[in-house]
Order: sequence, then C-alpha cells, then structure tokens
Amino acid sequence: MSEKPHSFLLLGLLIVVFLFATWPYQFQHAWQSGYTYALTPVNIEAAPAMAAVASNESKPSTSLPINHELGTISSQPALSERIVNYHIQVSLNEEQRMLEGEEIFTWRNPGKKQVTDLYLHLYANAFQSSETTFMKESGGKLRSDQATANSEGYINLTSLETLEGENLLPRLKYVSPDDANEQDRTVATFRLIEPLAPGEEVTLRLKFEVKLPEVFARMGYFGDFIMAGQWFPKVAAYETAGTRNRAEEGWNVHQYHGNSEFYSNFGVYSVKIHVPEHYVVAATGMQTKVANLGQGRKVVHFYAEDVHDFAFALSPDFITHETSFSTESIPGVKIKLYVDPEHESLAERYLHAAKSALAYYGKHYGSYPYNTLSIVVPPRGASGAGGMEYPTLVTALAADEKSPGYELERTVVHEIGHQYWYGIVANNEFEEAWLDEAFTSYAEEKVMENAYGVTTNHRIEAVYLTDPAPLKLNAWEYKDHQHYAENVYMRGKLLLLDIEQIIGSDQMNRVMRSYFQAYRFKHPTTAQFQALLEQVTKQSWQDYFDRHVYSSETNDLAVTKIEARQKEEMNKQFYEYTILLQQNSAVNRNVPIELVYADGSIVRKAWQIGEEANVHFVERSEVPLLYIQLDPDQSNMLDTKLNNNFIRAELPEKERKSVAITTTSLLDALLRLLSW
Amino acid sequence: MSQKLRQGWSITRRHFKIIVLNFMYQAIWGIVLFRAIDHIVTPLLQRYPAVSMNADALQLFWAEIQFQLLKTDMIVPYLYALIALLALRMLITPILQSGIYYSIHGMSSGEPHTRFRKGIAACWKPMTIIYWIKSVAIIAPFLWLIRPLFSIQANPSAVYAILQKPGWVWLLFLLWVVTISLISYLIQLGIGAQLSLLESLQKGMKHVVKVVVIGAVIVMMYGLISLSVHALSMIWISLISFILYQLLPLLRSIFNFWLVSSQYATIGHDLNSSPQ
Repeated sequence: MSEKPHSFLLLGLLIVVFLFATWPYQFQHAWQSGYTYALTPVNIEAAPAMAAVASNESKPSTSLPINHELGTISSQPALSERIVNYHIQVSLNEEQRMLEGEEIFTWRNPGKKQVTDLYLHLYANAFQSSETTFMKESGGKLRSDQATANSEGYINLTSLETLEGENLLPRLKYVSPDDANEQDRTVATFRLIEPLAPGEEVTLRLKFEVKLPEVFARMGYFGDFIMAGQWFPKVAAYETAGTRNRAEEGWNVHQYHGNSEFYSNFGVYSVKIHVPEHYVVAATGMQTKVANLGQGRKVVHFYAEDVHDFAFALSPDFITHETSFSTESIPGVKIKLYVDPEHESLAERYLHAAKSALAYYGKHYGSYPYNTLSIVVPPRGASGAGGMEYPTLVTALAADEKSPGYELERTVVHEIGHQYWYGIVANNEFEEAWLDEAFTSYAEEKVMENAYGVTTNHRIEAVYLTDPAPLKLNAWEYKDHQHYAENVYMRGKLLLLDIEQIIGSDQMNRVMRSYFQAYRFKHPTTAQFQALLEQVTKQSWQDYFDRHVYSSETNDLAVTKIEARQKEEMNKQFYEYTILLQQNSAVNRNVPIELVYADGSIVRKAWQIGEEANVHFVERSEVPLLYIQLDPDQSNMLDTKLNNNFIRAELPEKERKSVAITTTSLLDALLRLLSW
Repeated sequence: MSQKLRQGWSITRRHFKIIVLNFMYQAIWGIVLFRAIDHIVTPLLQRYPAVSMNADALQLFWAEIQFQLLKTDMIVPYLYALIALLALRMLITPILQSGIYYSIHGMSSGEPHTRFRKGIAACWKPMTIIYWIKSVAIIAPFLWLIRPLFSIQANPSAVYAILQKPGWVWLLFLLWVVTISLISYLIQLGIGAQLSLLESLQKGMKHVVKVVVIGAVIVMMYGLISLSVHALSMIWISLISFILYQLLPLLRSIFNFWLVSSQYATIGHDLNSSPQ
C-alpha cells in the first residue's frame, strides 16, 4: 500500500480516466458488464461442527500486496484464509506455443512457527520427459487421451528474486517427496533469505516460461486452442496445526502424479493475459478490463478472490454466450460459455445444464460464492483438455460429437459439482481424492435425475467394481488409472448412496449441506466428514468407515444355500426350504428378501442384519418356491457381487445335465482338435 | 474304394479289444471333464436368473460374469487346469498312436494278431517327435493370432482387435493347419510302417489324394452320426439319447480305427515294399 494518500488518489483518478478513454475498445469485448459485486450472503447453518472448526481458524488476511491498479474493484470480505496472493502477467507466444510470464506472489506464514523454506509446484514439468513421475505412472495417457509426439512441455524458472532484487534462483533445488524420482521436476524448494515469522509475509518476483505440450492431460494446446491449467509457479499448500486434523503445522507438498489432481491454499489472483487481439480469453474469476496494446495485441485482466487456482483458455474461434442466473440461494452469477463453433448450436444445452447444476447445488448445499462461472468447450480433438474443473471455470467435453447425448450435460453438471467440493470445500486431492470425486459424482447424479430424469444403473456399477480399494488412499497408490477411477469416483459415490439408503434422503441432505457449510474453504479430511456424519445422524460410523472407507471391504450379502424337502403333515403336502444367508455388514440394516413362488405370488420379508455372519431360516409353503432374491431394490449399494443374491430353489436335473453335457462335449471337441 | 473300406473294416473288427481299450480311455476323459464342468456349471446355473421377474436380471448376470472374466484373474486357475489336461493328453496321444498305427499296419500286411504293445515300444519316439512338431506348428501361430487376448485386462477391446483381422489371415491359418495335419498324418502312417521320416513323407505324398478321399468319406460318415447324436441329446433329453451320447466315444474309436485301417489297406502295400 502507498504511504501517501494523495498519490494513491491521483493514481486512482488516472485509472478512471484511462478506463473512460479505452471504453470503446473494451466495448467490443464487453464481458465485464454488470457484475454483481454484492456478497452472496453466507448461509450459515447452525451445524454443531461449525463452531469447533471456526475456532481453529486464524484471522484471514484481505491484503493484496501490490494493489494500486485494482482501485476499481471492490474487494469483498475474505471468505477464505487467503494465504497466498498472486499478480501475474503472462504473454502468449502463439508461434512457439509458449507462455512467458512474470509473477509476484505474496505468501503469508499462517502458522505459529517460523518458515525457512518455500515450496513451489512446477506442474508443467510433468511433461518434460518420459521419465517424470507423471509420465511414468500414466504411461503418457490420461483417461483415453494419449500423449502425442508434440506432448513434451515444461516450465522454466528464469528468475526468482526478492522485491529488493536479491537473486534466489541459485538456492532453488528440485525435490521429489513422494518417490525420490530425480527426473521429476514438478516440485522445487528454496531457502528464504530470512526465516519468516508467524503472520509475516514474503513477496517474491519470478519470471518463467512455459512450453505447452500438445494437450492430452488437462493442459496444453491443440491447434489455436490453448488450455492453461497448472501453468504458473505455484506455492505449495501450507497446513496449520489442526488443518486436516494435522498435529503439527507444515507443508503438504506432492509431485504431479499420473492419477492425482491438486491441492492448494486459498488466495487472491490478479492475472493479466497478453494475447493476439482476435483471441477470446476465458479465465478464472472476473474479467475486469481489456486494453489494446497495439500491434495486434491486447491484454485481458482477470481478478479472482478466495480461489486456490487460476486457469485460462484461449482460442480465436470461441463463440461467447452469457447469461445471468439467480435463485433464492444463488444471488447472482454470470454464466459465460466459450463454445467451439462446432457446438454453437448446442449453446442452450450447455447453459441449461449449468443453470440446473447451480440451482440444485445452491438449494441443497449452499450458495455459490463467486460472481462468475465460465464453461469452455474445447475444439474437436482437444479432448485431453475437456472435462476438467478449475475455480470458477470448467471445461466440457471437447466438441468431438456432432450431436452428443446426455454426456454433454453430465460433464457440465459434474464439473460444476467440483466447484462445490474441489473448489470451495477444497479437500486434498492428492491424499483423499474421493472427498472430491465421489461427492461430485454423487451430486452430479442427483442433478441428472432431478433435471433430466436420467438415472444411473447402480447394479452395473457395483458389479463393475471387481477390485475394491480403500477410498482414503494417496492417489498414486492405486494400481492404475482405472483402479483409481473406479474406486475414487464410483465406489466412493456408491458409498455415499449407501449411507443415504441407511439414513434416508432427508438426513443425507442435511449431512451434505452441513458438511459443505461447515467446511467451505477449510480443506476437510475424511475423518472430519465422518465426524460430521456422526453428529448429524447421532450414531457411530466408525466400523462402517473402517471397513469400507479406510479399507476395501465390500458388503457382500449372499444366499449361500437352499435345501428343499417335500413333507406331509395331516394329509397335507407341503414344501420345506432351509435357506442359508451370509453377510459381512458393518452396520445394522434392514434388507428385504423376496421369495417368488411357482404360482407367481411374491412374499417379501425383512432381513434385520445384525452381528451374525450366517443366518438360516426355514420357509414352508404348499406351492413350490421358484427363487429367492436378496435385496431386490439394491438398498445395499456396497455389494459388488450381486449374482449370489439370487438362487433358484431347485435346479431341474434336465437343465443341469443338458448344460453340463453340452459344455463337456464342446470342451472335449476342443481338446480333441489337438489330442486323442 | 468300397473294397478298401471293407478291408479296413475287417481289420478294425479284429482290433476290437484295442478299440474297447481306446473307448475306455476316451470315456475316462469324458467322465473327468463332465465332473469338473458339472462342478463349475451347476452353482452358476442355480444363480442364473432365467426365472426372475426382473427384466434386467439376465443382462446383469452376464455383466457381472463378463467383468469377473475381463477384470479379474478368476479364469486363470481354470485356464491352467485346462492347459494341464491338454498337456497330459498330448503326452499320451503319440503313445496310443504308435501302438495303433503299428498294429493296424501289421495286420493289413498279413499279421494274424494285434501288436499294440510292440508298436508302442517300436515307434513311440519318432511318433512323439512328429506329433509335437505338428502341435507346436499349429499352436504357435494360433497364439500369435490371438495374442491381443493376453492383454485383454488392460485393453478390453482386444476381442474386436482379433475379430477385425482380415478374413484371409484366418483362412491362411486354416489352410496351414490342414496342411500340417495332413503331412504329419502321412508321416505317422509311415512311422507305423517303420519307415524313416523322409521315406514316410515321400511315400505318403505319393498317395495323398487317396488318403484324403478315404479320410473325407469316413469323417463325413462319422460327422453325420455324431451330429445327429449331439442334436438328439440337446433337443430330446431322454435315457436313450443319454446312452447314445455316452456311446459316442466308442463310435469315434471305431471310426478312427476304420479310418487308419482303410488307409493302410489303400497304401500299405507301397509302404511295405520299401527296402528295409
């Protein structure tokens, strides 16, 4: 801050004059019209956990270190701790597909101890060679997108100095805290000139260049399209004691892994993006101004508060749409769509999906605290950039399909769901990815059903889970991407749906809402979610979490055996069935059993699952029993072996023989092709 | 030709004991296989929701099985068991072949008695070598053709990769199998007549057309009977069809002996006339 008020005033005046002078230029790119700056009222529910968490929190800082030019922006009261604030100027070198940037960041020591070293994420170095941890773990493939010959990229720090000009670059060293891979340069650290006392701030100036890879994993270029995510030197997350139940404060820093997303502290971003004049720029936060620089270039300025990342997308071809949206719980959001021309005709679908998502999440979890939400539709072929979330900016699936099905809506709804869990609640995606992905998948499903009537086949999903793993596991410790995805997204979602089955939808809504409200901007852990669940439901979930979250147990219910006998009593013939059931449930629950008889009659019984692993019961009937179906409505979502929920009372000998004989003769014929 | 078939038939009849032995061998395999399969299939069948009121039940049943097959190692022990079974049979096969070919050849050139055991002692070595060369020549390219299946867990579309191979690749493979089988069969006939490998091949090639024609006739006859029995046992499940089905290995044995006998009857004189 300037010490002299009059010079500050003068500067402010100059800016106002400048703004008016450049007004006509801005007008053609007028994206900044009519922002609602009024702060969304925080809907604080009297969740019991809230108080406990709030007391843990240190006082947020709202200061932006070099803030002179931001005079036109009314800074809102801080929603988050704002530990780190960035000012970045970045220029696109479209010929060489490089970003050249200058960054000034101010980092505040939020803890109670001195900090001697800083850690930086240099995520773009994941694409430096085939030997980086990301490339080795992913095999150069993310989802179904394969790295191309042009998918090498890097970030090069060309300068790192204090504001006084003291060079810190010689102190920089690369570290690999997770796997000691010397070829991995995605994390760097350096010693500060002076140890930083608690509450003190340090401001550093960096210069860097980023060579963008041809996109296959989130960031990169495709033709003229550029997706810049994880593109700038970023300070790692520092956790105070108590954050994420941590006993002692310190850095939480991980490399860029094949299966991992990200985790950072909240802060304020002010980013100026220099691009050719005809480029359209989408970015995190709100666009505050556009200025022509001459020689066919312009600078677009974006500003975002209380976010933990900053991303932008560029393309000369984007067609833009904008709509404002408000509901009772969403006071006013500009939804901006940057759509590839091939999907221009689908613009309404994108916007509708975004509104449906915001409306649902706003109503059920809490208000969306930002003024903007941008949706980027990457061009055909750039699918590696698609389906990704950044604060206040999401990418939809690439415009590969002429007329996509509901996957268009599903992706938009899903990525906007991330705004709530990844973006606002902001758990550690390296260590507990399920808190984001499973919650988002759960929320997405609710919107898809609510707004579009699209339901999901949970049985197919359950049986697809052939290799369950713990949900709370470092992302890179899953066997491969498939293993990561099916557990973190699907098993996690099924677990939330299972909890919903046990406690009912109303309770579940309360749990989700309280969790969001209590932990927004707080980086919660699995244990904190569990504690909240226990507070809301007033029951212990320890055994359940121990088995299904912290380890990989499924909840397999089975009819293991059925024995039929024909009996006669008082001249009356009847059948007697002895039925053996097996379970390994972690909670007491009710599971229906359906008995279907030969005459078509159906009898439903409730199986009150308790402690016993094996249960048998005897059933008598005059009509022969056809079959037993356990849990016909799949109220137990954690059962991944559903075929053993069904058993026929009797297997006709004829059928058994004919199947066995046919199979035998086929196999025998096969063997006889090669042997006698 | 019918005369050669009749000649072959008479030799076959005189080999009745060995045919019965062979039948027992086949029947034992049949029983072992049936037991094993029954053990696997019956519990599955009991879970098969054919009678379920739920319309999606069947689809779900198959989906779970498909995921278990494609995404887990569930199938591996079964595959190993099958390979072990095949390996065992492949050890026994050339030994049986040496006894039978030798004995039939002997009888077709005037021996009054069967000489099964002597045949095994006399020619199990070359017989085994030829049989294994043939087997490897067939199995190796087959494995090469289906190699995408080995990585099916990582890449479930491997099945399509195989199906998308052009038809001529499979046709060529089929042609290769037929050629290799025919050549090795001709050589084995020669070995049964105690010829050297080269002589067997030379003489065999000379009569290849006759061997093929006689083979085709007998195989067709067997095929007709076997097909009707199979169809019968599937469509009309009764005691009779079951007994017929159980007798199929016997029938197969008889036809097999008849095939070899007829072929020796056709070309045996030439195999004999070679200088010893």
